[in-house]
Amino acid sequence: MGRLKSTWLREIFITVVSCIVVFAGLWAYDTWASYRQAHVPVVPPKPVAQAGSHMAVEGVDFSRSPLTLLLISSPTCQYCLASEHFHTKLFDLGRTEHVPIYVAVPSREKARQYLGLLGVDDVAVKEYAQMNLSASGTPTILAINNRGEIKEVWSGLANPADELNIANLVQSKKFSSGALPTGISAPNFSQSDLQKERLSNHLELLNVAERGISGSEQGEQNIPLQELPLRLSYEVDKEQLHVVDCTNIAWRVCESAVTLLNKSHVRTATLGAGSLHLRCKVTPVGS
Amino acid sequence: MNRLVLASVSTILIAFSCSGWSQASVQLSPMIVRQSAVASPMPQYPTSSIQSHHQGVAVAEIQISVSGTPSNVSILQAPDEAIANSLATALGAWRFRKYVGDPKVLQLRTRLIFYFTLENNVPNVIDAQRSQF
Repeated sequence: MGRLKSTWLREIFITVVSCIVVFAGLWAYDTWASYRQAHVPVVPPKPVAQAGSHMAVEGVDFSRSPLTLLLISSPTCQYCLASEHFHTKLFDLGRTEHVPIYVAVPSREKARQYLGLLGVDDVAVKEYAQMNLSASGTPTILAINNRGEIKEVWSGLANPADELNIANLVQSKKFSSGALPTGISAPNFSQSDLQKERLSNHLELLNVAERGISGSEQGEQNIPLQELPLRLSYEVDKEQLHVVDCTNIAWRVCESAVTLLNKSHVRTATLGAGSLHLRCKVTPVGS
Repeated sequence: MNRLVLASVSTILIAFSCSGWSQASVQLSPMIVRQSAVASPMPQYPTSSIQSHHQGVAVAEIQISVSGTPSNVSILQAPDEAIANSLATALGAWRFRKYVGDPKVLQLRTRLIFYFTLENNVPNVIDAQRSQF
């Protein structure tokens, strides 16, 4: 009995000591991380690049081409890595069409492997510190004219429609006026379009996101995309215009919902298609 | 000390099995699952729901083991709790053909949709999958 008790005590002691060692390690790491963060040089924040702002990048003369693209990327951003195939094709297209395309990364040294995958010439690589503006997230593609003015901004993981719009721009070298096509075969409403449409027509707002995902409009009918094929024949009135709320869902989910509804001959439109941007936060230079 | 090592290994194995890493679960179309059902008792329309005029769609997520018995039924949406309970009870009694596909697959799952309707106060339960056959 006494032996059993001492064995248990020994095991409890080992467990307690192990826990103390693990927690002490975590505490030490946390302290070190806070110390490191406190000693990162403070960089004044730069304004975010948007259409209409003036872009300047050290060593880049925008006046030499009617169109220049600047890809603001990061080797640690999952959405940049997911877009790698498109970016590589874009650099190839830029070479063929004689459109200069630059890539800006936080650090040239740390991004060497990523830049190698993209197949970018060394002269086309810039660092965030060399730009007068920052981005709201990565990846971001800026289309800049020969006066250094930003004409178009594509932020986040590009969807097929964005990819097509960018490729068309590189080929035509002409900036579009007005809204760009979304690539979804349905009219795309903004919030104000929707309010106007509501005054003249009776419409149903359809939310195809999974249950419990916030951000849906009041009075929306929620049918998750997975259930839509079965439920639409029971719950969707084909005579009414159905507006798929795409403001909080990925482009592909929005496209699938519209395709399903169109196949069932339901009058369909979208709200805010392509407005959800999957992007990484830009970390300040020096961190 | 050996016991301590054994306890640690067991904990890791339990954690793995709880996290579902060891169980390959496959999402199937509700139509395919419905067609493989060999016993499919329909849910009862609860009297309390009829009296309260509660009607509408009920959505259930069902997990089925490869042997063909439901291992888990969860109700994602239902007009009221009585309908949710009735549906869960009925689906628990469903039986499916044994799965003979990929041996790595241990679980199958799908969403099943039912409509509980009251037309002229006559209760009716519609199996949305069945009406698509």
